[in-house]
Amino acid sequence: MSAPEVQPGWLARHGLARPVAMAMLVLFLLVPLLPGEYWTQVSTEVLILGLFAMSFNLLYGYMGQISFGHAAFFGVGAYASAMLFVRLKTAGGSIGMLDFFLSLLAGPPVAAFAALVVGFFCVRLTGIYFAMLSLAFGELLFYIVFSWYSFTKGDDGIQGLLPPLFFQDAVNYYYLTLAIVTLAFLVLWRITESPFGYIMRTLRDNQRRAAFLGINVRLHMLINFVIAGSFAGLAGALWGPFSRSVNPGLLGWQESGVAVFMTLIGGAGSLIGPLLGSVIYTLLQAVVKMYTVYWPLTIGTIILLIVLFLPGGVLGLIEKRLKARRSAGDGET
Amino acid sequence: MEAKDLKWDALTEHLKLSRRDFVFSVLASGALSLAPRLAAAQAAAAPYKIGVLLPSTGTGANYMAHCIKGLPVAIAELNKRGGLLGKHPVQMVYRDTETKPDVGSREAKSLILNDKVNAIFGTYSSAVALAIQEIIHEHKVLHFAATSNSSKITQENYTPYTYQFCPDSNMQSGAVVVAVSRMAKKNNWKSYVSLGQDYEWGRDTHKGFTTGLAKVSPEIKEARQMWFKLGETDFTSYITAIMAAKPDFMFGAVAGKDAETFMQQAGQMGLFKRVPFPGGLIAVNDLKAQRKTLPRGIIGLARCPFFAHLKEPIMQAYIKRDRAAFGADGYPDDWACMYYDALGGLEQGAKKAGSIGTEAIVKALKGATIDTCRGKRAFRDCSNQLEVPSYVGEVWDSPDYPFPIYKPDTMVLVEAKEVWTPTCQEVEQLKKKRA
Repeated sequence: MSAPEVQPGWLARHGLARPVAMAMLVLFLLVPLLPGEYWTQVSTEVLILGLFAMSFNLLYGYMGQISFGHAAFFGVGAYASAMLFVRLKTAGGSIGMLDFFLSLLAGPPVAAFAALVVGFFCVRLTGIYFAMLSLAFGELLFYIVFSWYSFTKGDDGIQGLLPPLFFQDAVNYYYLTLAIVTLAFLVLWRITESPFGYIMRTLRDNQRRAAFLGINVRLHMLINFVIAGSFAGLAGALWGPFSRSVNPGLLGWQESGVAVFMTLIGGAGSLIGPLLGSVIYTLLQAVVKMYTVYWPLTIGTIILLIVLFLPGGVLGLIEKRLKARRSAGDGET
Repeated sequence: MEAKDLKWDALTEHLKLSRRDFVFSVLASGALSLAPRLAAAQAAAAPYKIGVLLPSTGTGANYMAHCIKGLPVAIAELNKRGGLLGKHPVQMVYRDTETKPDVGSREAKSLILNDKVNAIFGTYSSAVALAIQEIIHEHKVLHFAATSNSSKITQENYTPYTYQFCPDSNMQSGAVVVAVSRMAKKNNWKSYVSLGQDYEWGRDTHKGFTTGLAKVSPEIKEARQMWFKLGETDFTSYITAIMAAKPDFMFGAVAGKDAETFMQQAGQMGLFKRVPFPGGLIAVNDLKAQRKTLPRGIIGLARCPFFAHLKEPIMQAYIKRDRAAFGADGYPDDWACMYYDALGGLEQGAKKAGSIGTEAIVKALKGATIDTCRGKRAFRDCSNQLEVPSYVGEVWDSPDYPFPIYKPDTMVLVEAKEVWTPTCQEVEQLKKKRA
């Protein structure tokens, strides 16, 4: 599997990382000012799926391995949270604030554990074999959830995940999601800019050389796999109360494809790229579906065009322009 | 002018008003007298929006094709009468659920929050229906289900806003039990093999059948059960295993594209010549699509076959209109028929309520009896499940149609009351608490 076209960290190299992140944060803060509840709902989805895509990019953009089974951890997080949610609900069908947050917290550790088990096997392989094994494990987890009626409610899914009254308000749940995603973003940023993050880049560029340098390749890949899984689990935990239900489709390969699409659209060259991809993908989906049933055709065409003409995604294009401008500037002086 | 002014003066003096006050008073009273007319005019223009959530891609798309193209025709006919209450034209907004619960939830939100629909018609899959019920209950929007038939929709996941126009999985299984027990006595059947789609509907249908049959005919034993994943394309191993088990008959919980594939492969391998298959879902669209390949004599199960109610005036008009719109072969299938009844239910609910308000219609439809393609039918008071029959019959070539139908003298119409499970008291206990 080839590494992403644009290398991570270029935004920081251009001194743009903070301004871009701040600009996005300000825009996200202003979303509830838009008329009607609908766009707040869409933006909540943007944030949750953005976090899911960012967690995927830890594997793809930073470690150089593509996973087609990453949604398994998104789904495991969603189910862990939902199952605890249902248990903590009162006889009247509502949930208290503390219990609600407890149920949200259940997602990441359970997803991390699932990632530890799956990752133990996956990190022994690289490239297409890593991708295929991750897909196989993803489908395995999907079928367990799909078929285990007595435990997971099978393909029915789990319904009735209505958050406490305060968070039933779309704007309040949006700001909760924004706060959690911002916090997660800062933690991910810290991780990717730490020595561990640079080891990931080394592993992406040349695993053999990294091994010669004394880096425990499998262990570092496994740690990264678990971190990515836990953040996907956090996104999944946020999904249940947002959607009011969870279902096995959240673990399926098509959901994994969503994270891949978002990362390709936004660009794997930065942490923020997948989030931008989520903005573009989710908004486009919301708008296109209002006018036509041909959404799969639309997104297929867009991905085709990006792969052919914008291999670094939208942010990759911006970087190329910036590089070109800088080269022109250097030439003039 | 002077004469006029004199009249003004006399009038204002008589009324003890200044000229300016008089003019204002006249304008105000004029405006007040016009207000009800303006309001009525506005009410006449207020449309009633229906959001339709059905798949045009993914599993079930082939089953929903006639519904998706047929509903606009039915709505146009309704609008010719002025719409709901004769003054609210109905508008339809369609969205593809892709037979995915998440997509269904998202599109339900979009329809309710963005398109401001008053009611949602759908969905195909029970899992999608269960997911969107959370959204419709929260936003207090009417939901008319007519294909997704898990019993959970009207029982465990009950909401007063959902109405079910399709026999639920328990009723359908019960109907097969009634039909099979009659056939078993006649043919001395003792064992059977089950084959089902490994998802909610398949499991639910199988459970309903095995439980029901064990009560009615405990001497008949299930020799084996087999489950296959949705979208299976090769049934060879299942067919071979069924034939090897040598059962007296087989039970199938198979629908959609999978049913078509299974029927074709099983027919080619000669399964139905060796093992009777009573009660497999064979709807009108299956009869039309597989008119050349469907084995004759096979015993099918249907939900709303037009040929069972040819004497009903609503059904007669419906067939005539759909054939006019879609050609000589445009007979409505079971699914379109049930959604047509759903639209009729909405119209009659609004009429009974004298309003298009959601709560008023909910109140009006509670336990109401409505006219449908399947005759006069009542909603079960405890669950909003319409009291509709199921149909079991032998596939047969009719001289009247370009595709096979169920042979009239073999058709068993099992009324809802024969297979009502659970009781209303049990339904009340099953209903989950909603916050």
